[in-house]
Amino acid sequence: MAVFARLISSRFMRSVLRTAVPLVVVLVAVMVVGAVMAPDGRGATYRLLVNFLITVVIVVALQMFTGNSGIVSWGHAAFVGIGAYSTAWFSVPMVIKEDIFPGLPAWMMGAEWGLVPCLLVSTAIGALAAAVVGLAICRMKETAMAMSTLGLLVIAHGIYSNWEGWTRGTEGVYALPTNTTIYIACGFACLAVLLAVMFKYSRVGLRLQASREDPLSAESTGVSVVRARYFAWVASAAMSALAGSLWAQFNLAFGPAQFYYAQVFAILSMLVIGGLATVSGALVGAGITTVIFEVLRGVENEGNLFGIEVPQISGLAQMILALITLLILIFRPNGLLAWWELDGWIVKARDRFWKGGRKLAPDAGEKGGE
Amino acid sequence: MTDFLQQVLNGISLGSTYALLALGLAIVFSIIGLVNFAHGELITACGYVMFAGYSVGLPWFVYAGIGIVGTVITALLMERLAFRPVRNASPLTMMLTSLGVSIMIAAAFETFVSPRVKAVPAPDWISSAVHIGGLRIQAEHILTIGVTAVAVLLLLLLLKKTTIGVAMRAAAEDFNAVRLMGIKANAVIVTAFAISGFLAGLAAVLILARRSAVNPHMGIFLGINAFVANVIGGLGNLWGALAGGFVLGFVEVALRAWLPVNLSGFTTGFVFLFVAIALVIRPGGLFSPKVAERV
Repeated sequence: MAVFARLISSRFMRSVLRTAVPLVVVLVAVMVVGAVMAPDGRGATYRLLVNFLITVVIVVALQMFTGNSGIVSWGHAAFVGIGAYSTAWFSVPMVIKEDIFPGLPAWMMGAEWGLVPCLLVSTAIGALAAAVVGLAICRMKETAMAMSTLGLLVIAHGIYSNWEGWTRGTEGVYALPTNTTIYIACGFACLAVLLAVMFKYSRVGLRLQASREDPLSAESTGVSVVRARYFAWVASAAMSALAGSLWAQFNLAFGPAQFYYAQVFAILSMLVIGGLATVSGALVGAGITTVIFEVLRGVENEGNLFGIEVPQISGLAQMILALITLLILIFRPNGLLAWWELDGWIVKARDRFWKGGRKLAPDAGEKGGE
Repeated sequence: MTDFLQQVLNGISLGSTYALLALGLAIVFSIIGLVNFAHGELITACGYVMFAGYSVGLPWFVYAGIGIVGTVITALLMERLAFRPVRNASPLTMMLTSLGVSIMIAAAFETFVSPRVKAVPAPDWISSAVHIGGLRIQAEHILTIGVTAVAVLLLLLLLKKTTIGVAMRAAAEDFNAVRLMGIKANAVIVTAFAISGFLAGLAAVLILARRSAVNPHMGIFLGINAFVANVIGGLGNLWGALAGGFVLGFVEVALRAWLPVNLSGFTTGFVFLFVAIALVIRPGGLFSPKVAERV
């Protein structure tokens, strides 16, 4: 008990809790809305909210790597895919599996596992894949690294589309059991946020952020940039695979096209809109993007935007998302939240409200950057 | 042997197109440090301009010419509207901006023209061929290789003999010094984008002569290939980009010709795997000179 009390009152845990608690509150509020509006777990709103919570896990996982290291990863969608396919291998009923995955070995053929074993095995496979790939990728220079993650995405897509016996190629997979509920999605979203915040304030996280600002000076003060990047790479890939598993157990059918260029751009946009440097930014970006997509989907279906007739079109949502991302990049290059986590903004707003716009209290947020 | 020579010819031809694309990308990168992911969309843009020209009944030479002019204009618009505002931001921001531009252009063509393939027919003589000792040489091969050679020569002349060319080479070393010599930064950057658009336009005409059709997403992976060629050669190094384009062309042709049929779906994957292995061995690119980084 005393150890626990000391941990809670340590500077590290105080920072972590101060940042994570507002985010967890937001996530739980989303869950409550979903649970109240759809107690039977059906309906479009319920689906939207659960998918939002799973998206938060995906974006937060990417933030752990890209946000702290400053290196764009195109490859995380590949890990989401690994999580989804591994889940399918271990959870689809045997009768269907014999039909769609003829290549599986006998012991996997018989596996009809539940939620937790599937999550564990998917995370493990994702982490393993990242650990192997990362040995090569994390040693490269920044631009080469970004390119290699792009290569990873293309290679993974090639495997998903052509490895017939294990992935059913481009026809895709179906018949997964529905195991992810809004409570489970929310639980893991909160866990992801907590882990990402802990990572951000941890030693290795701080080292990685130092390398983001200037790899050479970080290296010169004794930081092993490669090791920090490798740790973040494996951790965030494992989290992506976990998200993929959750996603697969909610959406039940998927194909290789679900883990490719368009998805990568959507995830990166969410991160950019909210702000790369913060975990809160990942959450805010995911929220805003989800709303935009939902409104635009309505427009596309109804063919009607505020009374103006719009022809039925398919690329509209992507175009608007790209436009918003560009505007944010041009006018607010650090994202909506910039360097402050949500708690910093709350303090800022409170100060402005009570003290009539006096400037931010010095300890209210950690100013990164320059 | 003939089969091998035939594949070498195909490799040179495909490699030339990649080299044109890679050079355009490298010129921009060497000057402002932007990895332009929207470079491939210049090809798409050229394709749609050509499609428009074809639809109103113009002959091939005319709409190919208009296509190249349109590509240069698109490149200049990209620079003015998207890249100039983020010019001084971090490389990450610039890369993401170009990604956004890329997605937006592709989605705009999908939305406002059609998600489907549109025909841009090439004249018949392009696919005519002569046979020399079992070797089949198509007019398209000769055109591709000839156009690339001329374009590279012109670029070389521009870079060596004109003031703006010298300024561009100097800007790749030290942009501020160039500005102190009284050269306008915008002039250098705009010229770089114009050249990159021109080279992309040439490449697009050659690619479309082969494919005879344009779709909204054709540019993305061509642009990525140009990027890959640059990484192979060492980013920002013009000769490296040229060589990287040819290496990539040869690797792709070789894999396509000699990979077993049941693995043919993995061709792109193998290309990337090859590049990744090359990068592990030489992280700075295959043709980069060994220079220590200045701090």
